[in-house]
Amino acid sequence: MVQRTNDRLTSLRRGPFKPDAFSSPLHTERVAARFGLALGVAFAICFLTGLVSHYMQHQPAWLHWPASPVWLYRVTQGLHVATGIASIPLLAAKLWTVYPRLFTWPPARSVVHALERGSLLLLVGGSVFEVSTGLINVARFYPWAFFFTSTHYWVAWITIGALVIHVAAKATEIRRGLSTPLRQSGENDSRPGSLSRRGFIITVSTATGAVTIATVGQTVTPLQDLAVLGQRHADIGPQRLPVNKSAVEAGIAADPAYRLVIVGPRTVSLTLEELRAMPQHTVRLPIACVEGWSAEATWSGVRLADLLDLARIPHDAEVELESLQRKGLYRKSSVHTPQTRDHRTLLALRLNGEELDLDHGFPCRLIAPDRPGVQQTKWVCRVVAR
Amino acid sequence: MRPAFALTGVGLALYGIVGLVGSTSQRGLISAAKWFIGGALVHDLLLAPVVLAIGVLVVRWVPGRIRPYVQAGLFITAALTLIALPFLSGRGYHRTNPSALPLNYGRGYAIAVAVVWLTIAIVAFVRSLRRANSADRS
Repeated sequence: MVQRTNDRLTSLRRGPFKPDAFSSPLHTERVAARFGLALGVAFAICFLTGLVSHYMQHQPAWLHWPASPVWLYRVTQGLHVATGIASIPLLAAKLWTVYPRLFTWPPARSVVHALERGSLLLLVGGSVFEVSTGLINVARFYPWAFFFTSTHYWVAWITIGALVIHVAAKATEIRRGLSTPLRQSGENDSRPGSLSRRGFIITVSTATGAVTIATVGQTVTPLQDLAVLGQRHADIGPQRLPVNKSAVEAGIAADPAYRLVIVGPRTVSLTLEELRAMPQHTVRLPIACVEGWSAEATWSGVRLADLLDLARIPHDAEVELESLQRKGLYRKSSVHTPQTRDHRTLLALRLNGEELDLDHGFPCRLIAPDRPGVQQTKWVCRVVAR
Repeated sequence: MRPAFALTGVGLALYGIVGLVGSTSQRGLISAAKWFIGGALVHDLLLAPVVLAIGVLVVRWVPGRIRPYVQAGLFITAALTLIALPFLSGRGYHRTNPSALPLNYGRGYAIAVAVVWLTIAIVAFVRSLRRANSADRS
């Protein structure tokens, strides 16, 4: 009886389920463990920098994000997108290496084994989801019906959870794989004439380098001319600075009756002329977009601190900036201490020596140190103490 | 130790699932599920078999002398192609904001791929010279 059931099961073992279906010596624990380690490090960096970005966009009261160094967010978010892109060849190579395991026979040995294999759907699905939606979002189109920011965030928790389960389940194999040389004496590590294990790892490393060089110049400005697949070029845009959302996209037109209103214990209303008559300051600060590009520029304008003083807003108050934009998730932003009183936080009127372009937020925009670009509110018309 | 680690993973994943369901509309959830499960299925049932088929063809048709270089070149080209596809599609470009996606991505992609194959050809040539040299000496 048992024998007959076994025979019947074995007769199901066809095609890729056959024991010798995948013959390449590259499909091995040792190669998988090495790619897995690299991918694990990349995912950990991506997850942590992603958390930073998430909290910067919805800054909770407990988070005191520093104003210095001014490039901190630029680095964490540049790293987030760069490691995400670098993960794509690593993930492809890792999945290819372990692909034969998809056809493990029998498909499940026990309940625990079935659960462990089920968690792989979370890991593979989550990983592919995160890198593909992230990349497509960076390329600025959104072929889905969910809100990218929150979905990408929550799926990151699912993916990291599944990764932790995977590491726990495979701890023995990972340790053994990493400690075994790629090629042991007297062993053949490639089909005659094909890529060796070492050659495969060099290839995947080169591919990771290639996709990085093709994109990372969007944030590492000295490499910008190599970034043939970068989504921005730091020098291309009005006044030699890229724009994330143009005035047309935001539905903004120049308004001669413009006033900046600061609502505090003493509410103040200022015309553009009056803003220009106040003490002007010049700073060099980067715009660092959540999509991973960043660029430095020279900004001149009025210190936010001076405006808050005019309205007698206390030093420890958090303020909210509102844009002329009627709609949009980011028409408002909050500025927290220490950025509110930092001497580099400006409502900028000029950019790179010229009056601010309408696309950059004319009549005035916020530029503060170490903040996501999406919160450097443009077309500012109201400042409200909270 | 390992069960505790695994349970931590289960907790993190559950936190993500609960958060996702709690913050997403039904329509959004269906779309997210399509991308989540679809991503795994597209890889396992489409991408991987295509790659394996190409691998078989390469082994059958490309002479062993240059085969490792061709395999390496194909992998690097495939990686660049995956990264380039969303940009090549042109879907994210809008005339009202020309500094977003400002480059000629078709040209950039072609240059990148050409550089990859040129580099591989040079490496293969230099190594074959070296091998010939050492064969002469022995």
